[in-house]
Amino acid sequence: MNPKLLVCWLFVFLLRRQVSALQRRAITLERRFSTLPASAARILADLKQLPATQAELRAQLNALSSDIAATGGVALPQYREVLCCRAATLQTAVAAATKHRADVLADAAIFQVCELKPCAEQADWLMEYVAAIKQRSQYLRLWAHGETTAPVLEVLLYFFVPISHLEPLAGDLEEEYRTIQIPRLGPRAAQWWYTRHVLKTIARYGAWACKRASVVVTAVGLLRRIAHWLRL
Amino acid sequence: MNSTKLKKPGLPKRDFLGEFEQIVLLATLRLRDDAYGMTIRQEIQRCTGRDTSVGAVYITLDRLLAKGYVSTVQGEPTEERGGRAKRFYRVEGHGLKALRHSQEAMHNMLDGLSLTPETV
Repeated sequence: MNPKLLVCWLFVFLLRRQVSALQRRAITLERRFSTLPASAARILADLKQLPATQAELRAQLNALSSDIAATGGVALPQYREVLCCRAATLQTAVAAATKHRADVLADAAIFQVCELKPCAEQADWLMEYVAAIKQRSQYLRLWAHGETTAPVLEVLLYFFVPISHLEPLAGDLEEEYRTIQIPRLGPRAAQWWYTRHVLKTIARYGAWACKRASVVVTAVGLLRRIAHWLRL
Repeated sequence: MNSTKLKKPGLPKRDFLGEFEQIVLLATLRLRDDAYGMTIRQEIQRCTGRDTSVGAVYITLDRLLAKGYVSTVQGEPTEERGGRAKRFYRVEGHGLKALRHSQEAMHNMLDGLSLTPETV
């Protein structure tokens, strides 16, 4: 059997698995997104109501001030009592409104930080991942059709190197392989040089990824993956 | 026990660079306008004799980029790179400052020491 075909088959299989994982994440994200408009509408309504409440309180305060001014400081004791009672009620209403305003603003901030931002970040991540898969499949197609001349192992880079580093890194390796190592070492030794560097690079990125994720997260991820594979 | 916090004399607290970060920054400085992954790797190999992987160079450059010590410019795609573009790196002012600071710290540590077998 053609080894190139076998490698292609293997990587297409891996790409398909990535796509299906991506689809599952997209469905979860869609569900999360569907709950957002209701929460946003509730918060918006609360926010819109705030100025109205404020205006109403201000009107009450103005009325009270004018009433106090109208008495001219010679109010009867019972009338003064009524004014004090109104002032106390207004004070309570202002305190309640201030608390409500703080609650609404906190709700809005929590909604933004805990719901809206994570959803947007995850959507961005999904878009990036989709772009990465697209680019990887393009590289695989080019490689399968023999349009790149670097050795077979190049295809490993497409799957293990982050997409942001892939183009300059694969280009650097290919440039050094073609322009320096082949004239210096000959094709066979240069191919060994290339293989060694691809494996070293993959190992380096693997260590980097492990370092970035905590050990627990890595272990849990691995166990989940093994469980998933066993179920299949 | 009285736990008064002693103020350390000498250099103020700043971000120190790791050994490989310093090497990568110095290689980038030496190469001036021609600093990209392959040339940086070769410069390191030529000057230190270390056969580093290009992955290690990119990971370090990525970290330095995140700290704002270097900046990048995309080059043109070329034939010998299989139509892929180069990514050139340049050391920024913050990078120079951090490098100078790390070198000063190393000099301070070495001050008064002679690294001969008799010292041990």
